[in-house]
Amino acid sequence: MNSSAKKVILLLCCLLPLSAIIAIGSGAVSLSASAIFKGMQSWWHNEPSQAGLIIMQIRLPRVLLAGLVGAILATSGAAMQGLFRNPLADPSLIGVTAGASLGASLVIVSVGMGLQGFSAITLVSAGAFVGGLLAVILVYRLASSANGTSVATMLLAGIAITALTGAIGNLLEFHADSEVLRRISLWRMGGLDGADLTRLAFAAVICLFVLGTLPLFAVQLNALLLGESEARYLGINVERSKALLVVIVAIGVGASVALAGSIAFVGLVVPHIMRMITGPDHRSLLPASALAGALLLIVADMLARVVIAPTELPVGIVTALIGVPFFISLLRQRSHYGMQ
Amino acid sequence: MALLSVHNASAAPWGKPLLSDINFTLSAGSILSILGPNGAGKSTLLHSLAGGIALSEGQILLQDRPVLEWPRLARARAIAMLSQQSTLNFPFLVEEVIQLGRHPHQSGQAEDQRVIEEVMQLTDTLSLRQRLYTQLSGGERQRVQLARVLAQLWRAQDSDVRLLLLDEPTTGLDLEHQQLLINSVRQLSAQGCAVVMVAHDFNLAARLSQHILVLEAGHQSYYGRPAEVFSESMFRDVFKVEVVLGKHPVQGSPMVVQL
Repeated sequence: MNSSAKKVILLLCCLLPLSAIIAIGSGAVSLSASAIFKGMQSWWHNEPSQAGLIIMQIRLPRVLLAGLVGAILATSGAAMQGLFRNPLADPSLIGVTAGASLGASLVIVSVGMGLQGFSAITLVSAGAFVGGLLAVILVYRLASSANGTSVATMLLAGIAITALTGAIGNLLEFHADSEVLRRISLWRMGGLDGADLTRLAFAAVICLFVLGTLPLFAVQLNALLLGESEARYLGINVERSKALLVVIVAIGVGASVALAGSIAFVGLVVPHIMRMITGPDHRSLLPASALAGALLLIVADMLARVVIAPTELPVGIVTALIGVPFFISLLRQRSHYGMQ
Repeated sequence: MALLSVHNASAAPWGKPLLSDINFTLSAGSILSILGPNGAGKSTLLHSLAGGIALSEGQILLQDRPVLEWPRLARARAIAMLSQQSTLNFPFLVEEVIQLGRHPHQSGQAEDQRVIEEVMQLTDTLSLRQRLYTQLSGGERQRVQLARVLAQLWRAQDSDVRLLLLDEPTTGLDLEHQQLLINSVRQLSAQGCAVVMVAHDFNLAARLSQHILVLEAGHQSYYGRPAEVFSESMFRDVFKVEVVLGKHPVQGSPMVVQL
């Protein structure tokens, strides 16, 4: 890891808790840093206090969930871009998020009202995982050739999958009764407002898994950027690495869709910015992306809460508002990234 | 003993036969050039030798063991391949690209760095080390990839057998850097590394290699020493050109002049 990458990671490690404190402090009731500290203290000693309640029941779980989901999405995006050898591969652009959404909707409709709590989230996530996995495999098959992946095919496959899953989703809603319909649409809007201990625990497990496994493939991803046969001639087990990476990314994206709905562009924008700063070496890119993804989603969620308070914007709108201009500027400079 | 021996090798990776009945052996330290018109199967043959394409018939033995049965890392320490075009379009530093060549080795960072300095010196890439790969010209990229491949095979103690595969290595190189390439290939072969090279430059092939293999539509139509293989009728039959053959004024190897 070069020294500039180390500095960036160190800086992000400092910014992350800072942003978390600011995010906990801001909202309908503003809290200063000392008020936050006092609130947490009183909660710890089981003394009832308004600040303690706000922090521990509402804001802290939400900020933590935003950080975990942001880290999962950004790391998955970075790995996916490396796997596709293409800086435009983002779970939401190439249909993976849409596939995961459909998988989750199917589970909600078929299971109905029966499930609550942890088992419900696990089931919905499993549905999202399967949907996301099918979408990744389909896109990868369609877009890959001996010479790498074609951006055009990849994006077109993403459009096709998004359209197809949208149509099936509409069909489901057409036949669903009003209670299930409400659940689907609530869930689809996503957002991080439903943060509770169950969701937080689930997000932490998935985040640990994704952040624990993807960096093991950093060198493989670096070699894969040279091309698949080059990676093979460097002694990389290409087929196994590809299969495992696809599964890990699908688990990460599926879980984050199940937890927070579809949050676009975090997986695209964050690895991109980090690549510009630290370079494309996945040994530093993956951890830097995780930290920056957590930071971005915490800040975006804070903005979503405070911009037109007391009304809350879905956080996906904020990330899209940040992400779309960035994406357009990427498209305008695509020759820099060697894309046709 | 032959380092590499190819028996009745045929390959049809996409259903259509691209190689059929290839036979040759290569001893340590010798250089073989593969010539042939476009689409004759030259690159397919190189990929088969490297273990990237499975054969439909026949065998490729690296030191008496089928090349596909070698453990992945041991094979990567024994065989390195410079492909025709690289798909790398992420902005790695030149030095980082070359470092990837040391991936199969566990020789330690200091030793790896020493190897990298040496191959960078040899390929004249020292001045490019902090540049971004994506901003290099075609010839510069070729030199960087060559340095990466050389770094993979550089140390004799890393593997008992070493085989360097080069697919049109002089593409995009100016005369100075072609000469550097020739020097590095000779240096490696003097230490016992065998070299197989796909070439379009007949004079370079004749100067550099002990044996020439001519491929025509997947078949091996000529194999032998350059002076045996090069003939006016061969060029007429295989390459559809009229040539005059002469002798290199210094080295005495065959020289080809197209009419």
